[in-house]
Amino acid sequence: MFLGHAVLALVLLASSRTPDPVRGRIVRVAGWVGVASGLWMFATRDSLPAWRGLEMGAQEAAIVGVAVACTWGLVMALDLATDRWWAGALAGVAATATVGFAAGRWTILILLFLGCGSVAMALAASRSGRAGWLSLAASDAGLVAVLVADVVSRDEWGAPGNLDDLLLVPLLVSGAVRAGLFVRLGPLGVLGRPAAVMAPLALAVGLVSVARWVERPLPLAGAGVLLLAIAIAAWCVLRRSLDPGIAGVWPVALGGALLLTSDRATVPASIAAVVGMTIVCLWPDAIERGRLSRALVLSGLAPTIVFGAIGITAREAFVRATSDGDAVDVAAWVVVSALLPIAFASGVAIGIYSARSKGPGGYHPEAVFMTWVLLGSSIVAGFAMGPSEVYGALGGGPAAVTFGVAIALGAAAALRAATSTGEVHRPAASCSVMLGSPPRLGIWAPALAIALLVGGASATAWITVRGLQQGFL
Amino acid sequence: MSSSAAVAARVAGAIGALGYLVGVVDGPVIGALAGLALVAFGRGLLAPAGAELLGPACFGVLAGAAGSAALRWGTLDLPEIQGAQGVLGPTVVVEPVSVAVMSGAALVASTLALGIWIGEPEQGRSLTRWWWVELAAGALLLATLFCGPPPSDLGQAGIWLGAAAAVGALAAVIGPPAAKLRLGMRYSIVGLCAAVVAAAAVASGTLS
Repeated sequence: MFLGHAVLALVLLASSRTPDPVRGRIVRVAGWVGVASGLWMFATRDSLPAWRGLEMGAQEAAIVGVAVACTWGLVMALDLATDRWWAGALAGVAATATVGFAAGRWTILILLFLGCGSVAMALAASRSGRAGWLSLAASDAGLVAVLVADVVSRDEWGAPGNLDDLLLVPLLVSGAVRAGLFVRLGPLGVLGRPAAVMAPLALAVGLVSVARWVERPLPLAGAGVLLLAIAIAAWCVLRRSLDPGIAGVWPVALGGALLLTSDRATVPASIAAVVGMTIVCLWPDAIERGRLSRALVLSGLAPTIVFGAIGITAREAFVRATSDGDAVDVAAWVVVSALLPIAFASGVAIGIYSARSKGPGGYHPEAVFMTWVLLGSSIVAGFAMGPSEVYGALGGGPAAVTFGVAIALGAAAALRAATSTGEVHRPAASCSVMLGSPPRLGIWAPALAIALLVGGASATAWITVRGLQQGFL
Repeated sequence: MSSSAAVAARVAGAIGALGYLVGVVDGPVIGALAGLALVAFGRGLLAPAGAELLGPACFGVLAGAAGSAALRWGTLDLPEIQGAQGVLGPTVVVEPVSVAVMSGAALVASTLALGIWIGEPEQGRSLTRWWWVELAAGALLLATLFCGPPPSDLGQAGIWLGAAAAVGALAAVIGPPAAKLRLGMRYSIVGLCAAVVAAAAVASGTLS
């Protein structure tokens, strides 16, 4: 479970000299095994056994399991042609590193796994654009700096509980870059390139960092990120243009805001962000045929897990906004409560625009198929987590049954309408889709990225040697 | 594909919303709004170019109205909002007077938004009569929030359903003439409705 993805990476490396058809089959088998492994981690998140210094919490297992499954799915679904095997091999290394990062009980172990993941991600990103590479390297260096500073300040080797306020800001900024909250940077800087397979893992590291080490709720920070999400949605709608590198901020910002605002929404909000980022990665290869499925995921409509997360957070925010307490806190909760319906309506608008965007465009059958799989998964995940989790905030079991029946009746009505009237109504397109380029950076960018990675590696090596000298285990 | 998806979203949304509004689910108003959001999405898929965002905007007004009523009673749960009205009276008449007046204004504004939304001409040949169900869901939501005691006896049920019928009838009357207005004018009216509802929410949150 913990090292399996590295084994898959070795298998893919070993297949590099085999003929193309054989290598293609090997990549496909490895991809399905990786997807199954990720889903298994999600399904058994409450009872994962510990192994040496690795012990995965339920929340982290759910987030990482879904991210790993999405990454292997991207390895199979994106139009990578001859790049597929090496992208898969690096994804395998990064997947194991992410699992170790999320499960490590010792800071040194976490740093070592983070370093392995950084190297894999840097190798992929270096062939996919300087801006994405530099921003990912900067976020990794920031994370390393925060974790090393925590060890030095506490003089303890165990993984931190909740970080000090002083370290909170750099951690949140690093997590935001890695997650994709900056337009056309981080994972959004490598869209349309082979390194896009790493995007769910890059995002997962950012989400796990917040879930593990940040004391929540943080309503002010959540309100800020929610405002960013609404601003991005408004920008896309008013310009009548959807650029995946910009619109991709929407699902991450929405999920991130819900994560910061509600501890209870941690898993559904994180899954919503990961699934949203994955569907954005598929966008360039499924521009026309994937419009509807992408629209439904990005809109955050019921009964997807995105809506579950919104429901949980809205309820919590409302209760806190109407309770007595610190005036600043109450004001922040009022702002969150007021912004959530606006964000929800913005999601509907983004969904409509995404569904009515101009075709034709990139078409890769596997990518289109995966957008539908992701839509189905985001619906099933809400039900699979049980009525007390996602649907608990919406009325429990009866709510799940009602939404299930409503969807079934809706599907039946659609089928009847399609067969009885044979109607194909094609409304005029509402907007265009164009994948913009990340910022063009000079030769200094790779040099700086390498310097940051070397700096992070040096800090990791220093703290590891110091820990071994003191016998941290 | 768009036609089928629009049908699926509209049917599923209206049924989901009605599930909450008629009491099949004892849950928060968020659930009913989720259903109406699906309706907005479905209608937006087939709306004429330029009018596709009218639905989400009107939905936003209804969501704001729901927030205003929820703030008035300090709860998001529909049964609790109805229960409070059963004891104290409809939201639009319970003191303080300023909050009651603003709640009434929110009800009128959201009814207007509902009328503009539902009055948008149907596109395609499917679901030409389904707007009745969507109108019923929207009207029931507003009646439940602003003048809906729990239907514990015939009299209370009559008040609730009568209020819903009145809201629905008003929206149905507003709809067709509103659809003849220029698009910019309709967006402006919805924006004005949103401002009224936001003011009502502020009044409910601070003065209740």
